Formats: sequence, C-alpha cells, structure tokens
Amino acid sequence: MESRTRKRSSLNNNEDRISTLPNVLLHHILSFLDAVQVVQTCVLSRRWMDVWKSHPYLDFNFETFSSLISSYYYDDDMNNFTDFISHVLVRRNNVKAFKLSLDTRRDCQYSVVESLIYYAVKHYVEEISINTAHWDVPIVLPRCFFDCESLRSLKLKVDGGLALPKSLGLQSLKTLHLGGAQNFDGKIFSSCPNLENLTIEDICLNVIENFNIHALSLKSLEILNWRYNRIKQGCKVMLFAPKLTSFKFDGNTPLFWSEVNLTSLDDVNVVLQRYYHNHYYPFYVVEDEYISEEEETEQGLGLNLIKMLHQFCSAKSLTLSMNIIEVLSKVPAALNKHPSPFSNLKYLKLKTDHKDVTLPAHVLNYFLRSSSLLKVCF
Amino acid sequence: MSSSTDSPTLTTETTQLSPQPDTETAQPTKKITLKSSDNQIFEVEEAVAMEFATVKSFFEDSPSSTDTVPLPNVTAKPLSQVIEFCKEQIKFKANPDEAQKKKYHSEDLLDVLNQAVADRIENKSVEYVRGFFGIDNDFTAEEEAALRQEHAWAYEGVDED
Repeated sequence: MESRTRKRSSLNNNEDRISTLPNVLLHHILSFLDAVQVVQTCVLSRRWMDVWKSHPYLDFNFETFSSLISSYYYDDDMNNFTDFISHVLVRRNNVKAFKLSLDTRRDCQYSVVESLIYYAVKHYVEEISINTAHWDVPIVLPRCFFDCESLRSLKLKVDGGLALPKSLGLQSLKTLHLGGAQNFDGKIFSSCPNLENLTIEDICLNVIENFNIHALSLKSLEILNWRYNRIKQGCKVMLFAPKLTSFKFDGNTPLFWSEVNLTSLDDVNVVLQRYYHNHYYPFYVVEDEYISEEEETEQGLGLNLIKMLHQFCSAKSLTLSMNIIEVLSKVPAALNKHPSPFSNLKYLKLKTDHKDVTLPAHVLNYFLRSSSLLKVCF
Repeated sequence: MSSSTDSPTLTTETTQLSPQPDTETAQPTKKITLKSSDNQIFEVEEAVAMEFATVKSFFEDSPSSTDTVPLPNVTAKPLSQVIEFCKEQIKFKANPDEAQKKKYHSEDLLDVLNQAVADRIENKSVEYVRGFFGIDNDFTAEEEAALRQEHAWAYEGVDED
C-alpha cells in the first residue's frame, strides 16, 4: 500500500509522460486510432496542436465517426462524415501519407472516394483500403490512380460494383484485394509485375468468356465467394502463376482451370459454401460415367469436386471444409475410378465446428493411397 | 461397391502439426546476467537476452565478455516484464503454429506498447488524457475555446463534459 501511494504521487508530480516523445512515435501510437480521435488530440496542449497535421495514417471509418459524433438524422451523419474528410485533407500538412483507409459500408458519394484517391496519389500513399458501397452504377476510378507508383498495397471493395480499366499499371503493387469487381479482363494483373498476393472477392463475370489470370510473381491467390450465378456458363478460367505457393478458394460451385500451371503450389484451402442436394445445381455431364437419375446432382457435384482437387496435385497441405468430405464420401465409385494424385501430400486439415467428427474410411484411404506419410488434423 | 460404403468409419485423432517446443532441453544453454538501474540481477538464457538490441550490441563489441550487462535505463519491474515478453516471443518463433492462436505474439513489443498507450486515448475525454499522461494544459480558457471552435468539424455533436 505504501509503495503504491508513493508511486501514485511520483506519477502525479511527474512531468509529462508522453509529450516528450518524438513525432514518429506519437504517430505510431495514433495509428491505432480513428481519424476523429487523432484530430481531437489538438486541444491537449500546444505540443499537440499540429501533431495530427503530419500524421501519416488516415483512417476514416463511418461507423466510428457516427458513434463519436452523432446527429439526429442518419443523412446528416453522412454529410458530417464527408465534411470531416474534406476538412482533414485540406488542413493536413503537405507531407507524405503512408496509409489511407475509408470504410463506410453503405452508399457514399463518389466524390469522396475520388477526392481521397487524388489525395493519395499526390501524397505518395503506399497503402489504400477502401470498403464502401455504390449501388447506382459501378464505381469507375480516376485514371491517374492506376499510375500511382508509390502504392504497395491496395484493397478496393465496393458493394454494388467496381469497373476496372484494361490495365492497372501499378508498378510497386505487392498486395491487391478486389471486392465486387465486374466483368474485367484477368490480364490486368500482368500489368503489376510485382504482385505477390491477390484476393478476388465477389467477382461478377457474367459476360466474360475467357478470364486469364497471368501473374508471374504471384505467391498467394484467394478467390472468395465464387458464385455460380455470377459467372457466365462455360467461362474459361486460366491461371498462369508459376511461383504460386498458396491458394484459397471459397465458393458455391467448383472452379475449373481450363489451363493451369501450378508446379510450386504447397498449400491449398478449399471451402464449399453449400453441399446439399439442389435441383438447380449445374453439374457438368461426364460422358464416361453412368449416373442414375435420382443421384445425378450429388454424383455430379462429387465428381466435379474430385476434378477440382485434381488440379492441385502438387499440394503438400490440403485444407477442406467438412462438407467436401461428406460429398466425397457419397461417391465411392468415383473415388476408386480417379485415384488421388496427391503424391506430395503431408497434411490434410479438415475445418469443422463440431467436436466429434469422423472421417469415413474410404475417403481417408483415397488420400492415403497416394501419400503414406499423411497427417490428418481437425 | 458395397464394401466401401459399408466399411466402418474411422475416428481420426487430433494430431499436432509441429512438435511441441521442448522447454526442458537437455543441453545446457548459456546464461547471461542483466542488471537493472536499481541493481537487481536477472539471469536469462542467451537467446532471450539477444532479443534486447542493447545486450546484443554489448556482446558484439566484446564477444568474449562474461560480465554482467548493465541496463541503466530500466528498473527491475518493467525489465522483468520485458524478459517475460521476450521468452514468449522466442517460444512463438520456435513454434508459430501453436502461437497463431495468440495473435499478440506476432506483433513486436513496440506495437504492443503503443496499442496499450492508444487504448488510454481511445474514447477518453481530453481531461482524462491530460490527467493520465500528465500533459500540462498550457492554453488559456479562451485559447482552448477558440481552438475547439476552429476544429468544430471534428467535435460536432460531442458532449462537452
């Protein structure tokens, strides 16, 4: 108790514990905070008046904004938020910004996105993250954006749609996350020579016949929420990524590469969003298999999953959602007919929420037949 | 194909992917002695000590030294906490799969500390922040009011209490 009192008093008499830190450290601390709270530090003392003006991380989040600054009407909140962003951009010192993010999760004025992008390009931003919605028409980004040479990481997620140009031309880009992109040419990725991590989410390719992903430096690819009704039937997807080591897929229909070269692939993660019998499930007709009519959808799905997995034959680690195992367990004949090609497989990981899971012996044997060193984990 | 559909299902046990770190290693590890500014002595394994940039450069300058390393900038209590952190950090490096569950291990010490400081600013009033960090308000009441007025766009609707 005594020592505690002493400590307290020493803290109270003590000089300022934070203001003597250099700006670079203060900025690191402020990087954990929303832009509103960063600006609000200006009234702490004279030392803090201008700290926010050179802060290199700009994090505009509508949800946080409206929780901190509330107005009675929702529309007012959005107007206040838009005003706030332009005040910050105008008053900020003319110094490099490192990271800029905008998260609105609801329809926001295009002019806000546009002014942020102009600001980012002008201030050599290295990371941009924009997560917004625009329901009237797909967002078209300003041309200058795609020549931004400082940009190393870009996340663009637009509910309602994002229209991309023919070429990106982002020379330094290493990480790209696209959400809601519509009907674009997969060749745009070849214009980013340093692209290593690519995530494509909620893609819509309903008028595209050929989608060719060509990325020489790509190490990790994630295709998320790949949905049957958003992809043109018969759309040919090609992947040329000789350095790819990790692939993650999440969708409601299997994805087939019409041409693929995945020799260095190590780690594959496949999640099937649905597995249950559905009359609308569009199975691919396999000529050399006889499928009884009542079983055709389930059989078709099982076969297509086997075909899809066969494309990852060099994988060392395979992670599957449990419903894939269930589908495979219902097609024992197909498992026998198409023996597992996974000669390098060391780990089979199964994703499940349940504690007591059984792996049917014939499915386990399917994987064991090609790889005797297999470890299975849940 | 009845044989395969009828075959009993096999329950697979959970298997650990990577080996557990062997904390009780048989081979003796070199110990290094650290001394805090309040003269407390800490004996730590070499690998742990080398997480400290100061200690590392001390041995780079005099590789064969067996002396106690003086750390005049830090008292015993924070030093012991930092040593604990470094031990965890080393466990993480040895066995990343295990530690992935504990996200904070992947961040470096500066991030952990700065996050902790930021938590003392987030959603706190100006008065709290001044009081907590000992920031001396060197504005006059008029100056502060004027400053708030100037930045009204960042305070709109905030209760002033």
